[in-house]
Amino acid sequence: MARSPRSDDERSAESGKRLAADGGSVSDADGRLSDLTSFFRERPRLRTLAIAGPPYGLLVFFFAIPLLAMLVVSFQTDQIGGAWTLGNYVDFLTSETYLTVVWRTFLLSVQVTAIVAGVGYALAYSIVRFSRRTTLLLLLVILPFWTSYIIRMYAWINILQSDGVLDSILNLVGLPALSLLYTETAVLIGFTYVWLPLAVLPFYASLTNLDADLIEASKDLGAGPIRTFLSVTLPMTINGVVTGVVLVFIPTFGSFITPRLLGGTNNVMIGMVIENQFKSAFNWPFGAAIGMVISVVVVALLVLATRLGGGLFGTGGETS
Amino acid sequence: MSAIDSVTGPFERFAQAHASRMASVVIAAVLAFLWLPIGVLVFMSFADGGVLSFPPEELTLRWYRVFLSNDAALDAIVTTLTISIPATGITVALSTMIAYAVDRYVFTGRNWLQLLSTLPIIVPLVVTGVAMVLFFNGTLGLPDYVSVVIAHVVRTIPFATLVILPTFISFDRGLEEASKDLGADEFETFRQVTLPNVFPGVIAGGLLAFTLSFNEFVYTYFVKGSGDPTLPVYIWNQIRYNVTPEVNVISVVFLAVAVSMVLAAVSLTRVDLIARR
Amino acid sequence: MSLLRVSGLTKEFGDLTAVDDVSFDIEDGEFVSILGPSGSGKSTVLRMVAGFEEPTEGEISLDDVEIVGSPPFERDVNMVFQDLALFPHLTVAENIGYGLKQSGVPADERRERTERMLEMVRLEGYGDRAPAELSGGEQQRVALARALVNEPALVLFDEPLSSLDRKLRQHMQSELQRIQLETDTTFLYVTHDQEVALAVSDRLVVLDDGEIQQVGTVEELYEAPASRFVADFIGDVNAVEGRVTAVDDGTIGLDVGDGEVSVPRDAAVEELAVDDAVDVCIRPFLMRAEPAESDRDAVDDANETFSTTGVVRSRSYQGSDSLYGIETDRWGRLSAEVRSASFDVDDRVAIAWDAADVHVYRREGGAPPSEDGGA
Repeated sequence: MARSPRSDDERSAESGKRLAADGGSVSDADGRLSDLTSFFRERPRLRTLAIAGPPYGLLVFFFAIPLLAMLVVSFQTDQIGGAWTLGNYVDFLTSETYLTVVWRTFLLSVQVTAIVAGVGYALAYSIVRFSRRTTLLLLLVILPFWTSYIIRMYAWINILQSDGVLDSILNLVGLPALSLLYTETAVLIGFTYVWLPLAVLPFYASLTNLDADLIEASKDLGAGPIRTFLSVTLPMTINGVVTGVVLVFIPTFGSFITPRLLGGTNNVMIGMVIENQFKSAFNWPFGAAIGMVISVVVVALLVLATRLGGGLFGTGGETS
Repeated sequence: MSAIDSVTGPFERFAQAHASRMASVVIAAVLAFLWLPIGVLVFMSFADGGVLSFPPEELTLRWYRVFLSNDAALDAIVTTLTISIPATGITVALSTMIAYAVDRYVFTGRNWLQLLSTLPIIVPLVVTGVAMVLFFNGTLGLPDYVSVVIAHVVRTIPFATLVILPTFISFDRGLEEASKDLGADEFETFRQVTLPNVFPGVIAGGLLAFTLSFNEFVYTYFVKGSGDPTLPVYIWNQIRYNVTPEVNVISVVFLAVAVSMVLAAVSLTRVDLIARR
Repeated sequence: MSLLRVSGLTKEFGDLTAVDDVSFDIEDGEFVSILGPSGSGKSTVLRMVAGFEEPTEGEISLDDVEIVGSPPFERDVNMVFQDLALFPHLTVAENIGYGLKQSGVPADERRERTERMLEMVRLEGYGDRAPAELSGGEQQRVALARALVNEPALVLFDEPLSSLDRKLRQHMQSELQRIQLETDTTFLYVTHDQEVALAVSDRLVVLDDGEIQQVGTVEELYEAPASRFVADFIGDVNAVEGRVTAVDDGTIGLDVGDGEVSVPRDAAVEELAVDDAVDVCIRPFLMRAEPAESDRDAVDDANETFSTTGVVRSRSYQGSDSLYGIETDRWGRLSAEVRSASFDVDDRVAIAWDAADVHVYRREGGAPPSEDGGA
């Protein structure tokens, strides 16, 4: 069906119609919005500001500034607005009790991180390399992460306490009860439980991005699966590992719920000390000072992690 | 192969031969570890004898009835919702703006924006919680409710952004050019092309933000005064001071919320979006 | 009056000049291709015509109306994108009707025109499918229909066929020509693939490094390439290095190793002077080859013939003809296209071609650069 060539007049009439229709057929509200978009088209910087500004502002004002305010308060005497002092830090850093707590917290966090990294990596590796139902398995792994933290701890209280689930089962098979609740083991189990799903995500992501051909190439060139893992897979997923380690170590270091609920009084961690300053001792500046100590440890670790090449902030290390 | 020497050879061959089986064992063991405690909770919510006995003598819905007639617990749910729903709305709007800005524009401070929207995951909750109570309650004197909603927004933004940003990045911007080429202006293009294509990701981000906010404890615990506890705070008090068997029932409520939200989110996007940063 | 008139078009991205002073016209109803290697700036030209890039300098007029500065959605041109850019959330019919919807065409007319378009591209009954359910070739047709249904003055193609395999690409080429004739629309087609460009276009614009090398019909470009680049880019070519020894009214004398050959004056598009270093170019299919008896006796040093002997090094079968790679005694490796089965590898051959068939270009870097190029 050949159409006859259109005359130029026809054509300009048509493009005219298109222009008219743009303005005419849309509702007033749409028209105003269209005006708004063309207003911003002329002013790209204003447009960027309008879009990036509000979330930026909120995060600066309600997240970054409070952290800075905490720094200020930590230099005040035992109430906000009190006189300036280094006393909080001196008290903290000269108290053997507190330093013991910090050391214990550090050791516990290292253990938790090692366990979670080991188990999590093994899991992610097994899922990525050996399973076909990756999506379902990943879902099953991360789902528990989205339930309440406290509820998850509560489940472990029920399992670990004397005459709880674990002891009952041991009893049934004729083994002695363990009464693990309020021991360091209980704290380790609890942390492993809550952080495992979180750590699996970066491990999984980096393993998925690893080109499977590289592994086959390595085997083709004569390296066995263990050598291949150590010389190809692990080095190439180190960013994911570092990210996972950071995601586990830092929250563990600052945690108070797990040690409070599963560790009892024998396994005090530094987070519990802070909670105590705010919930029962009511010495906020001292709590702020401890918060700063934690932050210093955290920042040191982050710097270290960035050096090791963790792609933590999306665009990588150049952000800092 | 000659490259495998006689010392490591047997191990390498063993690994090659049994890797798949070992992987299955790892997966099964970890999944059991992750899901058995949850199974225990669900099971115990139907247990007649209460918290301390296992296995229970008989199954009952009794604690569900107790829960449904417990005004304090129901009030806690309402309190949680009055915080979580607006917080989720704000978070979705702001995270979408972050995702759009980071994906589309190059501007000074773009990296800082990304850093700021990731940091709340990394800074220990207790540190941020302390900073917030000092600043919101101490310095600004904000009302309880406002403080808590803001705290929840800060808590949920990183996770929502983590989900929404990839949907913007993977969105083919050529489609927007095609739309403009076919006569739609920027606004019409956003409405008819961009939004329908990123919408699943935005909704998924919202569902996860809601789940997180519904479960939020640490910030709330610090920032919120003594009045009406949210459900996580209520349950914390229950566990610490007077455990009753209905705590098991509340656990199941949390579980149901989490499972349904996450499943909805996953069905809208792909699960690996949550994994990909 | 030309439908599209591009003049002095220049686009700079920072320090990089992607498009440098490009001018050409397209007449109503023409099928014009912009041909160039990747990075030559051809897509940038297209995107400036579509309105996705603003030129740094220059003018683009459509139907005698200046369109630089007007946004893409107000231009009476539609594009078939390289990756097609079909809306994944819309059906095939909704994709095709999208442009009509934007210009406020009522729903029933929209449906009717969409239906007509589906027929035109031979996709009747595919309207309710999702684009992802279609094969690559079918998606191409949808993208084409989506552009054509708006009856734009000009349809732009950004290498949409490059992802198809050879067979399907050739089929789509002829479909494009059919549809162009049926709709009497003007097509501007951008590609790096000379085969596509030669097959479909009325005229070609050859672009390299942002600059126009030559504009002309397929025959003009093939038979009288304006530069060594064009000669190389459009079809195969052999080049022999030489030096100008004499220039007079009718002929140019060339020293090509040992011996001197006179070529017609119009074999060179540029003004040549004595002592200029030049490339003497000859198409492989214009070369003659026959078995050589001995080293020298087949060499005919007639003044108007180029000839040498050599050894066959490679052979590539192309149907009735084969392309023979010959290591020549005088000019290194040359290729000659002659009847298949003429020679075997390692045969000694004598080859020759007529001075009237060559094109002579000043060698790049061999003489002071001059800017009086072909365009």
